[in-house]
Parts: sequence; C-alpha cells; structure tokens
Amino acid sequence: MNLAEIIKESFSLKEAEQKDDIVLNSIEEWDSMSHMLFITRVEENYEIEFTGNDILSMQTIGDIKNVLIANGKTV
Amino acid sequence: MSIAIMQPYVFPYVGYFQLIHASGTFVFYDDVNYINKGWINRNRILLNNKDQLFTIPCKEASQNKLIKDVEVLQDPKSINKILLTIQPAYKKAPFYNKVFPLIEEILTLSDGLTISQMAISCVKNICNYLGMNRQFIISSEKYTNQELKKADRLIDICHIEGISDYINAAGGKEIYTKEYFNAGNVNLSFLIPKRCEYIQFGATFVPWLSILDILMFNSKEDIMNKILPSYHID
Repeated sequence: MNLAEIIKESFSLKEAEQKDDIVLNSIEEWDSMSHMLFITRVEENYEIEFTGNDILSMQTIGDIKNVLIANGKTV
Repeated sequence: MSIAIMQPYVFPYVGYFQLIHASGTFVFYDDVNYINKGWINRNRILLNNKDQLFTIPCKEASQNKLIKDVEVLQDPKSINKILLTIQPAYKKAPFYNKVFPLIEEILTLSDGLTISQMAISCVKNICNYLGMNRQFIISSEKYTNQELKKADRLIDICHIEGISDYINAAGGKEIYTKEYFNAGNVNLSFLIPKRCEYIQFGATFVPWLSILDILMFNSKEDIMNKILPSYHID
C-alpha cells in the first residue's frame, strides 16, 4: 500500500484531493484514533520507525512525504 | 509513572488499550468536542474474512457538542442489530463464550447513557476483564481547566496529577512540540502500535480491527503478554 492509499483508507480522502498542503487534522474524518492508526499503517507499509520528532513534524501530507524521503523511502 | 489522556471511544482498536497499558493513570478526555466522522462511536469487526463497520447511533451528534453531551440514540433495534452482526461473525471464535456476554452487557446497558459514558464503561469493562488495573479519571468530573487551550490544558492535568511523563497517541491536534511540554516540566512521548498478528478465521490476517476481534481470538494472557506490549514509545 502506498502513501496515497493509506491516506485514502485512513481518512476517506480521494487520491485526487490529496494535495501536499492539506493539514491532516483539518480533514473531516480526522480524529486522534484515525491519526494513530494512520501513523501505524505508514510505519508498517514503509518498514520505518518514526521518532517523536518525526511525528510532531508530520502536519501536512507534504510533511509526511518529506519525512519518508528523509528516511530513504520513495513516495 | 506516566499519564495518558485520550477521548473516550467505543470498542476502540488495540492502540487505545496500549496507551492504557503504557500508563499508570489514564484520563478520559470527555469535555472536548465530538468529531462527527471519527471513531468515537464506531469501529470495525471481522465478518466473512473482511472488515465490517459497526456504528452506535447517537442523538443529534454534532461537532459543536462536547463528547460528554452526546447521547446514545434510544433505539434497542439498532443495538440489537449490532449484536446480531457480532454473534454470527464470531460464534466460532475460541473466546466467544467468554467475550460475547461482556459485549452484550456493555451494549444493552446503554439506555439513557451518553456516548462518553458508554465508551468509558466499555473501556473499563474490557480492562477489568483483562486484569489491567489502572487509575481512571474522567476529565469533566475532576478538572476545571476547560478555559485552557490545547497543550496548556494537557500540561495542567499532568501538574494536577503530579505526573511528569505524558504519553500521547501518535499525533494529535493539541500537541505543539516536545520543547513546549519540557518548558512546562512535562516529558512528552508518543506511542505507536506495532502489528501483532494472531489467528483469525481466514488465511489472510485483517489488521487493526476493534479490540472486539482481539478479545474473540486471543486468551487474556496472550493479549496481556504479547499483543498489548507490542508498541514503541518515542
């Protein structure tokens, strides 16, 4: 599963609507639980372990891509 | 000792219970706004080897209301429908006979409750079943700091409880930076669940379902010793 698919599954946000500047917690379907599950799914799919600072920096879709890229992943 | 603060959710997924597992004190944050399309009143179970959503119907639920003020819709048919979905879905699961009565009790005693009361009862009952003893606090019953915003309120709760290690679910609207919490003499860390597979009915494991699924397929010992400790904190 790629990032766009994880976002779609976690927040019911269609891939066409996934702009880099979208702040995750502004999505209507966002809540603490969906966010927790989203982070878990990203870790699992990209075989990565985020640090607390990674999590704090991942506010927008673009931020998440940047963290993944910084960890050597392709998005 | 550490503290976790989280909105109440009905039959949440394992990450919620891992947050409780990791903390000595757990605060049900029920005096913050309800989220209409979130997971407070719904989750997913396994039905015919696929995930199936179930929803506790709520009366006039709105993002303008606090979670503690949203009532469960008085509709025995809806609750019965959920039970009638769970029953055949898990009838052949190894721990069905122990777990179904617990679920039935939680759901059928929802008459006149708010979604918050129902969710808190649900979480406490499951912790009790698992033998996971923690100090539970309901934010609206104890704290008078609603005027504080976001991180300041969380920091204030830590101060009131005299606990300096605060564990948050990964991410959150009310989090600033670790430095912000440090300035308030609170150490902020995040809990991230790791996948822990177990045997369901089908060949393909369906992950991240409601705790219901874990309870149906696993012994209390396996849940406490293998599944709940499967997370990392940073």
